[in-house]
Amino acid sequence: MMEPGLNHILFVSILLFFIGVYGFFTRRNLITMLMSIELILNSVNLNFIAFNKYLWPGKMDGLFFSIFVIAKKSSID
Amino acid sequence: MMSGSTILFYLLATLIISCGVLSVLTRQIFRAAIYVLFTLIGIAGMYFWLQYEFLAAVQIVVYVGGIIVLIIFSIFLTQQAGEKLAKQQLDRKIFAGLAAFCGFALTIVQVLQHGFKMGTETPIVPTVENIGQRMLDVNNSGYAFPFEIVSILLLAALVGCIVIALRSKPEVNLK
Repeated sequence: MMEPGLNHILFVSILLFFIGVYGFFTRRNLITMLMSIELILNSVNLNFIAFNKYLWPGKMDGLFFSIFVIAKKSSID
Repeated sequence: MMSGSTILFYLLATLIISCGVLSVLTRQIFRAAIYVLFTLIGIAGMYFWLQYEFLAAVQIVVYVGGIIVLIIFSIFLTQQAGEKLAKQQLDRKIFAGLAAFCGFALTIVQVLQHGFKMGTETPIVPTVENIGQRMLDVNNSGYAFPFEIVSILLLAALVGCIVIALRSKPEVNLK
């Protein structure tokens, strides 16, 4: 158990992304596919935030990308 | 000796991953929605852990309060609650699992090989004031334009919803 850093967060978000991809491929129901897409988009948001926090702490671009992704997802729903 | 924040991180990661896996594997659609709900709560906790409090609040309000409730409503309106989904074909499961695993392995190898250069700038604290000033900034690469685009998109989605809901019934011949 190490001190969590960028790689740990990336591991979590990549794993969540491919769980969503698996769900998207196997499910046939429209609502469950929508849920899988939600998992994918959330992992992407987590990725943006982790990069923003660790690699470019002086900027806020990742934060804005996440906010816009959330807004678009809610408008799609 | 592990600090509290380390333990918290691993707890949140376990919550996110386990609930994600369960939501994909379960055959009851309502349970899948509840597992997705807990995954989203875990991600909100991860934002808190990264000290992006505004985004965590947005995540809880929009996803947990809005989208999941909407999904549960649509489940109740369209399906029999408690009915199991059809069993998935085995070959489809195998190929999807293989594709997901190969993609995961490829990406994780790339990430581990790549040496990230950690940022050394003085960090901006993402307070609501900073976010708002940057969001409505027209100069120095502010985000006023995408903000407007997103607002138009939301308006279009709203109008589309109303148009679909108000679709008139076919005319009845009274002759």
